[in-house]
Amino acid sequence: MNIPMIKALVKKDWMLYRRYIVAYSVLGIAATFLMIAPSVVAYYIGQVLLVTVLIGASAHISISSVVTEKKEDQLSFIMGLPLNVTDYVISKTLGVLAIYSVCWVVIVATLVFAIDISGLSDGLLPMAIVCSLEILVATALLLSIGILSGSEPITIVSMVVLNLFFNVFLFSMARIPDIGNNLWGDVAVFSPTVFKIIAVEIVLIVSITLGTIGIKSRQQCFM
Amino acid sequence: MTIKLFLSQTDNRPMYLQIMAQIKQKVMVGDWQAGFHLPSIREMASSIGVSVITVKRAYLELEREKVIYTQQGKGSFIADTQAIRSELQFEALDNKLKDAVEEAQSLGLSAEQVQTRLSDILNEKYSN
Amino acid sequence: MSDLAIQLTGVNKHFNYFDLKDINLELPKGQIMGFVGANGAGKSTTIRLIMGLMQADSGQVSVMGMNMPEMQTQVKQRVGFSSEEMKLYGSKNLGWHIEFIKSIYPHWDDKYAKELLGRFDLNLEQNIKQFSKGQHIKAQLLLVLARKPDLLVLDEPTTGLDPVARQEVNQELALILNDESRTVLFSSHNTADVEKISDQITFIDRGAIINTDNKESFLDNWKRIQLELPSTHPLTPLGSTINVEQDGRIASVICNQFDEAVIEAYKQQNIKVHAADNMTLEEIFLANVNYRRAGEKV
Repeated sequence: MNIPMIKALVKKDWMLYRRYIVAYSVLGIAATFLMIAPSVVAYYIGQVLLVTVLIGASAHISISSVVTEKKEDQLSFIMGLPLNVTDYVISKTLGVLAIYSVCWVVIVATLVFAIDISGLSDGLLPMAIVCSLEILVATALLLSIGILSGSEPITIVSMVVLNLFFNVFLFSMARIPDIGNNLWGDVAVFSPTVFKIIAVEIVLIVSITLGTIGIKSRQQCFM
Repeated sequence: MTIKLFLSQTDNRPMYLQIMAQIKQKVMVGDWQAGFHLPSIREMASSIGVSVITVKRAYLELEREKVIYTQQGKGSFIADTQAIRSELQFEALDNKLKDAVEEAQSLGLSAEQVQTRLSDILNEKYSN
Repeated sequence: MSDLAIQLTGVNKHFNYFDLKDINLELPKGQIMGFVGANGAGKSTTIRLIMGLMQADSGQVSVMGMNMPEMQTQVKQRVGFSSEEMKLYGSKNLGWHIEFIKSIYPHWDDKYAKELLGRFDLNLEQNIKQFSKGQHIKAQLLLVLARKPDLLVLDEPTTGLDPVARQEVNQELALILNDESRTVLFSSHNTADVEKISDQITFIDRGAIINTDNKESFLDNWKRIQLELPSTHPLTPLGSTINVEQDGRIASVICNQFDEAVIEAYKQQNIKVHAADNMTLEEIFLANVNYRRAGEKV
């Protein structure tokens, strides 16, 4: 493992995507403000916009940094540099996830803060956090699929499936009594169920990432 | 020191012969005098854009023909020009004569016919 | 320390429709090797094996004395590799790419990079996607050259360049000749480029190396001999002849181990030798390929 090289690769990806990260963060913050505006219509528009920004940023950054880079032969340029497959896959899993997390953290932190200080019921908080984490899990998974398959069609189909799954996830969470029943309450109820879901999500992110590194590292050559 | 040799892709001679011919020409016209320090093989190769192995061969052949001499560790120099210049000039003359003879051959002239023509020319020139 | 920059021993690589067969290749340090072959002959595959981007099915690949692909990180630190298929990031400019590469290679030479920028007539600020193909190739070459690598591996560096850009690139490659510690392997299907600056030449065709030698030997050993025969009877070729063409009493013979004895031998048989002509590298390559392919058919 060549740590300076991995750092250089992550820095390069950061430079490539930072203006998008800033733009997504601004859009996310704007969506959050719509949500807390004193209008139900604004709330729903804001909510849809927020989810769209989080998922859109995730799909854009993962597909572009992995699949498009390969398709447009910039990966060929990278392969000639002093690195091996392990260095590359670490930069694309941990690195790109970290880059995406910058706007994710900004947006989710704004959302939590906004729910807390605004007239919106604090009961929404557990749902907001659980759903945001699901998007992070999906990002890790999409990166993994992109890296392991190297295929644009497979990755795009996976992205569509993951988007559909997000809606399924949203409804399933709302139907869990611990979460659904407290949604519009004044207090954020972090029940053991909520913690369990959060724990599962974090374990998933870690294991998908480590698993991808483990599988791809067994490959000695790029081609 | 920048060196210019004028080499041609369409010249039928191998590149090393072209290099030799150009260096000889520089000596003949007096641009490079006896004791002139030639660029190193690598410098020459680099400035004329020809491989090291080709320039090396040209230098070796020139050395064999005593146009240049090489001192261990110091490089290559043009040999005493006085003797070489006439030597080179004779060689150039011989080459021209060869060309003429080859042309005569391609016209299907016999050796006697060529000789007759040559003596005609000689008579004309030397009678003046 | 090994004196070889590149060594391939008995390397095989199988694909569905193509096989690289028993590749043996040696490039001593400080030399320039031109690697010539038709499109699809196996040049790029061989180069990928050398760079550790692909694993050979059998055989050994060693670069700067280190085994590939195991030591690819260390090797690539000392090698400048550029290939036709590589692309830079279109949304960024050359200056950005220079900063990126500079952060990876400690020997990066800023002064040299500036000179190259001028000689290649490239703009630091212009986005790569606005570059022409020639500018793109030159930009990549700049990124590779200014790292000051011990070994340069260039896959088709002049392919697709207009005559002006090709001359600029060839001139730059010629300047590398000045540095005796630097080794270059470059592939091309343009024999004129290869013929000028290479010390060693290797021909590859249909996945096999068909000839490798130093350039002067190639040019000396290969001759086209023009003969005038005593009768229209088919000529019995002498010496190592690889191609005979005859029309009536005139014949042309290509010989790959020429020496004066061959001419004498023809004269003994009452055959007139009109000329023993030099061949260009391109003619030698084509004769070589046709000869091998004809042999395969038999």
